[in-house]
Amino acid sequence: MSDNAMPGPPGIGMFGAIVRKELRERVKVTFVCLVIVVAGQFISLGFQYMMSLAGVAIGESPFPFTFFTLTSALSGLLIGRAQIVHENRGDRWGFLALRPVRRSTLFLGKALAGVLLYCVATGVPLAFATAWMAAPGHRPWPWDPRMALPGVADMLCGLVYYFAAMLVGMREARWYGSRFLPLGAAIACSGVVLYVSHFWQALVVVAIGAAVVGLAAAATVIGGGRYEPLSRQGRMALGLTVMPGLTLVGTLAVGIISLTVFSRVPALDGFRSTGYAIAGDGSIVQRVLVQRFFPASRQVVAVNDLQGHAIERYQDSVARTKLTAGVISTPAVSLHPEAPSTLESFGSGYRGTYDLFVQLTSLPPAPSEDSWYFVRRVGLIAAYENRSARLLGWMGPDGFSAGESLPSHRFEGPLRPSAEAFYAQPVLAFPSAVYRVDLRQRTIRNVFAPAPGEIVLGAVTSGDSTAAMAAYGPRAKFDVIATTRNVHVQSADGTSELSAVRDSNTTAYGTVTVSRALLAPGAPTFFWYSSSDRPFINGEQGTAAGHITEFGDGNTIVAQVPIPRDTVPTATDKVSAQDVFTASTISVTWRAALQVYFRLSGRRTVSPRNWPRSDVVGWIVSTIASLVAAALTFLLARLFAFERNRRLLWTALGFVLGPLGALLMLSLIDWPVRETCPACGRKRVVTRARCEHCDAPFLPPALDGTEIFEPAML
Amino acid sequence: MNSGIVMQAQGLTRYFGSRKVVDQLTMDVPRGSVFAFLGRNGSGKTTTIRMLLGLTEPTRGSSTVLGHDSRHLPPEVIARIGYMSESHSMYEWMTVRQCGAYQARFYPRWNAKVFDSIVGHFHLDLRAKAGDLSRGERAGLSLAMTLAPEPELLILDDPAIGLDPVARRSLLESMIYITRDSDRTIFFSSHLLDDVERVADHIAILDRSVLRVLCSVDSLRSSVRQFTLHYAGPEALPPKLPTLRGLLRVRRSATDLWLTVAAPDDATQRELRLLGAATIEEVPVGLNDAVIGYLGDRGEHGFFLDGIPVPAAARGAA
Repeated sequence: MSDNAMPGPPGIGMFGAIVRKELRERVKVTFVCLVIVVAGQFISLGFQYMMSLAGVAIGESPFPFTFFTLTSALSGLLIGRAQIVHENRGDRWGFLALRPVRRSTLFLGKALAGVLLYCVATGVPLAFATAWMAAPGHRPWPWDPRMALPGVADMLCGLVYYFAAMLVGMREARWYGSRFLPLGAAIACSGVVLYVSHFWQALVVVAIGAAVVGLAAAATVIGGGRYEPLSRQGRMALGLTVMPGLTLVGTLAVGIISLTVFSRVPALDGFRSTGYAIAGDGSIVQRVLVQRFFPASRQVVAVNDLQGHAIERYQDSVARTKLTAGVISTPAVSLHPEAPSTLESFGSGYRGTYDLFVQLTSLPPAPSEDSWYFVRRVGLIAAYENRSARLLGWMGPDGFSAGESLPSHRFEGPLRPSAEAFYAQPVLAFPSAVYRVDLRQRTIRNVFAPAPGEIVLGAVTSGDSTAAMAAYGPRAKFDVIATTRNVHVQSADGTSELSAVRDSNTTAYGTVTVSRALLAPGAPTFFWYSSSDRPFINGEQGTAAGHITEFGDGNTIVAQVPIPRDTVPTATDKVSAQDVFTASTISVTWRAALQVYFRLSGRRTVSPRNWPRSDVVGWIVSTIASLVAAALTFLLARLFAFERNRRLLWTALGFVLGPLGALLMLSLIDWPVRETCPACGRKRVVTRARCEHCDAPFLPPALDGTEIFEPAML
Repeated sequence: MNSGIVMQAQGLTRYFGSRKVVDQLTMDVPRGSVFAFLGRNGSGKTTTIRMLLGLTEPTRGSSTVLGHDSRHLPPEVIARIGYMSESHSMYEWMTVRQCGAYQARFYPRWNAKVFDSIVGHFHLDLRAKAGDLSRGERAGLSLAMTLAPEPELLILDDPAIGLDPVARRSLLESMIYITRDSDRTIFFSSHLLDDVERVADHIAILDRSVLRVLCSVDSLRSSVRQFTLHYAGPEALPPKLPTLRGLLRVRRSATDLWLTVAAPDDATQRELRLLGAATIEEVPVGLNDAVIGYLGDRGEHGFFLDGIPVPAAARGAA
């Protein structure tokens, strides 16, 4: 505001005056935020530079934006807080609110200025960092404008923190009570933004989060900080905003209690599960595993035959540790590369670079001075010098060519997914060819071309381990190529060792793993088809039904063995106090919703008839918890004389949300004082004009005979 | 609403926690009045004002200002109200000129001449920052910002607190200036009874969150009386007074009792005669004494420091 500013026409520019005042007033905090964000960018860029010197892959997410997740959230919090806490109480609030303008306009003016300042504090450093990274020669990896999207998502997500801070500042609640809970909504938003795969999904999440938290903040500012004056929409928005915070705090509390009070409960002593393995002698066995969490360990406690009978020689624990000695296996090759897999999505999505380029860390490893990336957009491999960040050249099917110009001959079709998070194998599979690369020598060799009508689905190698070669001979090193028709096993130089048509009954399987038991007689080869191509997915790892085809001398099929589905790690049937405690914090409707979700998402669920006892007890306890929460909310609503519909609503919320519903009610409501009614002697709330029990009005204060009232003024 | 009433409270009640700070306050503020709202610190004056202005939600009861529910005052009604808080809130980074310019944006009837006159009267430098002003200067600036919109209803919450005599006089003169228009109403709280006597025509007194007085100043003056009861000797004085209706305050000497009584009537006279005094003399009291009768502790109380022994050193010096 200029010092010479003169009063303009009244009414015009009112909104502008509010915005300008807010902009001017919050310059300092904006500058502080700017410094924080820039410092974060410098630290992360420096860290990234040091990593790039070491040739370390940038991984799942570019680092500046990871830091930016924190600094943008902090900026939102600081600016939102500063705009409210200096003006939300006493005379300052009166000076702000008691001017001829709607409070919604006041809020909008504040919010517009705050968002502008926030955008300056976070957007300017983001734009500079993005532009700097995009400039050639600054970073030893390819650049794509989409790499800026995580930063944009984080910046937008900071707006949810901004509104949450306004809400926290304005809301009349105890600081040690529920006041901070709206921050939970912002944290939840961040979590979802980090989790979702697509940028548009992040935008939707941020839009919903900002709308809900913003509405709650607006309603609270307009209502002066209390819950009761809020509009119905404002109350709903505030409830939705507080709920994630309650859930976070509740989960944390349940976790801490579980770890402290129930740490010696037997259920934590281990989960028992079974799986299958190829033993060093070439037999297929069942392993019984016990997994412990505190401390974490996974141990084979028994080895059985496929009928479940214990095998004598593995009674000894030392023998069990050598169960798979001499067995060399490849990673799983996906037989459905077009289907999304967890492995693939590990670095994919808008926050990762997997969809843009794949770092090759092929064996033998590339010199640490160089970094190599398969750039999907151009179908070529780019090589960068780490220290100078200079593009060294491009590698195509015809070999390496130095310089920035792109070779004309490119890899055809998509790079088939690797079994590792980073492409750490020398075999690159494309639909129409398989190549072996040597990044140290900068050479590439076509090692497989499919027959007409055959399409390559994936290729893996057993590894280039010289130790394995030395111990087991050249048969320890082999490549496996899966096509639409066959599974080929060949040596590293491309000589075919075994080629078998995929079993007709294996088409439904998602992956094939090839193993060789090199110490067994005849060193048989095994094709292990598995129904899952998602080896990293939680709970499903090792749970697939499978099929093993064994090839003996002369590549003849020796055996075909169906593999039963592994048992999922489950707790013992014994019901622990911890089970009861955990179940008591979950509503029965939440349990039911989870069951429905599992069914709809195609996950395996157990029929209620086959539920273990702990599940049955869990359902019963959760039902009781829901009923208790409903009863509690009902009683509270009755005690504080809620209107009928409101009482029903809170009772229903108590049942649906369980203990969370009761906590939500306690967190939100402005609980009025209760006094004894002189007419009926029961406690009544002071907010009603008449007693809710006997309908007696509140009596005027007792006269002491000193009153002087002029009737005309009463 | 009666067009002669600018503010109306009906059973207005407010609790802070379990503490009742305003208890069922019911009153009307007549248009064109200069209404003094009195009470001791913590009696609920500021809370009442804040409820009337919609800044604090009442626990129970309702109020209207200029015919509109206090909880939902529309901007056009707020534009007709001038409010000056006891802390003289303002944006401290703004200069005096900027404060005026900013405030002017919001008020359709902003009178720059009024603003400039008050600012000039208080010798405020237009380039000085509000945060650098003394308390009196801040009061001047606050007054300028409050009066320049030409409010129809002026609400002042203890505006003179901490002001020097000159600033106080200026404030009073400003209030008198406002009342040149008979349609304008001033509702103010104050602890300065001389100021009240000088400008107010109506008065309300809150005693520990309860409204005890609501009348014109003249009514209060005429309704509160002091009775002097002369006794023949100290032994004739009653050691303890019986309950007397309307008794506000008692003072006692060796042979006299001075009783301040609200709204005495014939029954009061009869009760006094029963106290056995040789003579009873009735005298009017000033507004100050009448108000202090309400604000102080009721009944007979000795000096609150009586009973504390005099230190030995002080006795020796004497």
